[in-house]
Amino acid sequence: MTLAASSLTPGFSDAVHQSQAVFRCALTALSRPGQWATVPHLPPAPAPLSAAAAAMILTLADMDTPLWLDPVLSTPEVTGWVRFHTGAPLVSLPEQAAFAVIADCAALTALDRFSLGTAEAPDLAATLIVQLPPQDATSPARTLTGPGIDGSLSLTVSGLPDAFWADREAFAPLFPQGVDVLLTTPEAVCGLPRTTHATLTAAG
Amino acid sequence: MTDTGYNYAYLDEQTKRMIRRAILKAVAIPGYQVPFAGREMPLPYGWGTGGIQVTAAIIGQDDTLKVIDQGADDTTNAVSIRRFFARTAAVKTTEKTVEATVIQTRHRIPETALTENQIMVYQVPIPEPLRWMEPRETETRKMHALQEYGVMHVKLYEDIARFGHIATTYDYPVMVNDRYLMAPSPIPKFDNPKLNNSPALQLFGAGREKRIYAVPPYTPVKSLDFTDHPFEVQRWDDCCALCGATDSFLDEVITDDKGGRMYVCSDSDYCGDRRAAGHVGPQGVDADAYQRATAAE
Amino acid sequence: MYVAVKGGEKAIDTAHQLLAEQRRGDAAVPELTLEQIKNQMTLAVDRVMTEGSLYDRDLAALAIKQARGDLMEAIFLLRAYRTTLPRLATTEPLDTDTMRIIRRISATFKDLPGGQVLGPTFDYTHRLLDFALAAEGDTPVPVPADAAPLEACPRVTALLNAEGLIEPDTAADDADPGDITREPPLYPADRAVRLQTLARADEGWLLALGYSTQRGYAKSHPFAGEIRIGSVDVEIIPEELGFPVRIGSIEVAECEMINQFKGSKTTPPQFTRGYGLTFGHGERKAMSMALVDRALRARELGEDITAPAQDEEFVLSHGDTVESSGFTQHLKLPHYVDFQSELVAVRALRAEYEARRRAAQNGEQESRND
Repeated sequence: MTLAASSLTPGFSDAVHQSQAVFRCALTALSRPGQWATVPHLPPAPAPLSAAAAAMILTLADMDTPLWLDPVLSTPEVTGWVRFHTGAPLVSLPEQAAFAVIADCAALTALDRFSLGTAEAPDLAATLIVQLPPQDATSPARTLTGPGIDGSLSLTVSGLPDAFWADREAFAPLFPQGVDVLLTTPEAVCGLPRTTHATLTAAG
Repeated sequence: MTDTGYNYAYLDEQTKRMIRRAILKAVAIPGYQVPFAGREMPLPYGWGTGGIQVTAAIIGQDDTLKVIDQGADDTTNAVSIRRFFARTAAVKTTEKTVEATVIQTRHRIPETALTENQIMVYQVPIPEPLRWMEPRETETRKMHALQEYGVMHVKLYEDIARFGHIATTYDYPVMVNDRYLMAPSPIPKFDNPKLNNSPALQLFGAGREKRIYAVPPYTPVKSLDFTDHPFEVQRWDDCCALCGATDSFLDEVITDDKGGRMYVCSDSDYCGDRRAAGHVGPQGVDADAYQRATAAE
Repeated sequence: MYVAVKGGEKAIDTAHQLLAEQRRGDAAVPELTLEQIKNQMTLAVDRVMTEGSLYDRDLAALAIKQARGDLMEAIFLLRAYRTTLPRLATTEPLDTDTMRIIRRISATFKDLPGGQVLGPTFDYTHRLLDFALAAEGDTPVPVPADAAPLEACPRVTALLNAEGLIEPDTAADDADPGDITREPPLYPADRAVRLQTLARADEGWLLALGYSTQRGYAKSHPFAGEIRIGSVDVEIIPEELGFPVRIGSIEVAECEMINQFKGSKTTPPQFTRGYGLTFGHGERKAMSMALVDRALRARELGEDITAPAQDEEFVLSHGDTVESSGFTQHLKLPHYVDFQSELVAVRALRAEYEARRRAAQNGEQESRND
């Protein structure tokens, strides 16, 4: 099924400058992991794609980046929007993706489904753009350390399964292989590059 | 709007996206050289095309750009690159380190401490620290994958055997986050300590060699050394002749053909700030007289 | 009192003015027109288009004028312009079998279908300066157009292929040929990427490397199987149409070298191929390229890699004139800081050396005094 262009919600109103600003936001997020950065331009995205995730897609994806949408996001509206605005080839297998967009966080397990890159070319690893569910404060805090973090900091994120965190830690010995993650709320982004270690903060 | 008929910041949007993706991967793998499809730029290879492409991919209307070459804002190549961005990206430029949000540099790190709000962009001629020991990319790629850096230690140790200490004085190799051996670009080893645990994001662009790499903020960067031969930076017996600084990197200026020489700060902004604050070196003049002299030019 | 040197901006502006003045030369002499360059400096235009990777005679002529005739500078200008152009379509592979030939020679057969067509060539000119040209009124006698169109010119390699005497043309598959302008170089490179790199490489570099193979540094016993020059159609297949549409034609020079190959346990002896192609009449470069292409196939053909021309990383990473010219000339840029670092180190090393020498002398003195 194809969608008429007229039924598509628009992308950025000023692609050059808005994508530059959103890129800087993503750059800040990945170079300062664990800190939330407000996404400066939020395009009107077709549900269930969130505006912040949509901004990341518009900024980073194009015909050179295979993109995987999880089953929740694989609606005609979302796939049509992504195809029209980015030209990114949509792939059916997670391991083929340069960018994977995930809305069903509970199913975000088995991270080794995604490309971890290789020892010689770790840059070929996937970047996951994750749409978090509405946040509550009930989840346990995690202590983050690694490049980009001055000492350590505490991050509380709800909605991600324990397996997500466990897989990330399991990849640590494989470094430089690994996956990089951009967590998103509807209007902000937080980076978790493969170098960031996250451990449950000891109850104190 | 810019006056050139070219896209904002010269590069087309698809090229910018490609470079931006490479930068993000570089940040995620500190010290690893990400291959990127570097484009021909309207400035020659070897004159900063890698740094220019990185700057063009990150810079925006809210930025303030500073460009230095040899630490100074007024060297011809720095002037040329600054003009390029003023023209193609309509960006604010500055010579003040503290005002800059993006600093593109060749061969120096400013003396003034960097902040979290700044991005350093280094111009890199040869990104591969192992290149002098192994010219083949196919081999060095494997060596990085296996973290096989023995040849670099052997090379430094041969220096010690021959000269009594490590003879590398610039582009001194560093280990990033205890994993990747990295060429810091031809900055003097004097600047190496500034790489370590910097609050600023540091990006490195090699245009001709088509590599981008990065050191995220607050990342350990260690200059290679041996326990019995610890890393040391250059020291001068003199101070800056203009501002009297004893803590800055000094350029030697030949003043006559009879062995006369003086030393001045390589960082022109740092030196100017010190003079403006009333510091006077042995051959300097007070701030007011300096103002008059430079204004008269 | 000393004031640090300022004035980079002013110096640059003045340099640009001086450059413009030098480019124009004596204002009493009429200015060169692009039409003149395009029509009378055709081989310069061809080279700039080839190494600039952009088929546009007008822009190449402009680049040559702007560069004061420095072809490397002109190539750089064209490349820097090319890189900003949008990619509208990808053409179908050129079919040089259908070339409208103005020159076609084979060094392997005395005569062959289609015949030998000498065409415009310097080959048999005596290199005597033609002072009639200096007198400027030179108008060559036009060659009457051949009434009979050329008969079909099957390729020499196709004739050999029919007998199985030459390896099949492996490049004819549908594999994605890659794009060196969009992907960073990664080694080992496949042949399509190698050929793209050679096509825009410096002619002098390829000429020297090709020459080295003839002198025994990776000898491959080449024969100029066929050289053809002429125009070929350029076609694209628009997605909405699904069939090829001619969008124009370009002039190219093509060379197919035929090289000896001893054969192996699994392959009977047969000839192998080397391929070269340039825009315009770049025959010398096409020949050089074909020699180097063949030399770089050493790994694929199981030959020992012993010579520079067979060394893929060495050949491919040093042939781009925009890269090599830029990096060589960057040595002009200030290196005060690095040089100062070396000065400090050398002075310290010399002081230590001197101290050691003195100490040794004193030691000798003391032992003599003992």
